[in-house]
Amino acid sequence: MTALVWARVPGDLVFGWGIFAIVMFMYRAYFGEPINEKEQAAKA
Amino acid sequence: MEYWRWWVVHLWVEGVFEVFATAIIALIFVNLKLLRASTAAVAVIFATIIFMSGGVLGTFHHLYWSGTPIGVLALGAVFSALEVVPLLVIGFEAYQTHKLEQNTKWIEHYKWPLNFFASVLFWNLVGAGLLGFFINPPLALYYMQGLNSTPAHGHAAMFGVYGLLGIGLMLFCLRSLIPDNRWSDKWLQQAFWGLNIGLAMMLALSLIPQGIYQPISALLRATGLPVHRRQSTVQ
Repeated sequence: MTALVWARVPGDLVFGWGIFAIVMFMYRAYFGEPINEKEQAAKA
Repeated sequence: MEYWRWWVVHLWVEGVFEVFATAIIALIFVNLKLLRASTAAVAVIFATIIFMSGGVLGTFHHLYWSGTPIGVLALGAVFSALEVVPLLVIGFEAYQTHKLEQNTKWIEHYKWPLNFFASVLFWNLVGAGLLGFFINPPLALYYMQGLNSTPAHGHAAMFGVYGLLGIGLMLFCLRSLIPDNRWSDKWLQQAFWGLNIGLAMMLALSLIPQGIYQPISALLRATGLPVHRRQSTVQ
């Protein structure tokens, strides 16, 4: 049954990436470079 | 002591958390004009009645096999199952309105906070509803008390509903505080899918299979449930 315990790891890694992305979002919002007008226009 | 500590936490979850989640999402959806105030008021009052009176009855699923009368067992089973209804009513109407107003600019402005709220409704149905109901019927509790199906419900209901609700509320406030040229949809998209898919993978690949393996193994090998509650069973 060791496999089922280790099967937890892929989910943890993907979840960890989600946490990292939230941190990057906050960093970008407060400390990063502003998004340039071209990118903003592409977003809109 | 552990028993009473857990009992306090569960009463708090049933009585306060669910009402808070329903009320705050109703308030935001009404302010965003995704939900009629009348529907929100009915859902919140319904939620308050169910959780404040029924939430206590809903925790009767913990008393099934402690010499409790059959009436208590029936009340516990019914009110435990009813607990996810109010938030789903709100979610259904908001989804219908969202479909009609999908192309408006302000919806696009709040896209990711709203997506996090949508995922709260999803995990409320799957984590609190389906996985909670999976371990709460009297027969299931007789054979599955305290196995890995319980943390499966715990992960999906706790982070799926309250974790994602917290992030959604934070983003909803930040949307007004952070200027457009610093708001990165790219990172939010990755955060949204990473957190949701990661949580789903934890459940589907590890916790739910372990929770199913334990009672089946206990029944087939007739070694008894206590043996299969041990950590060594799933290692």
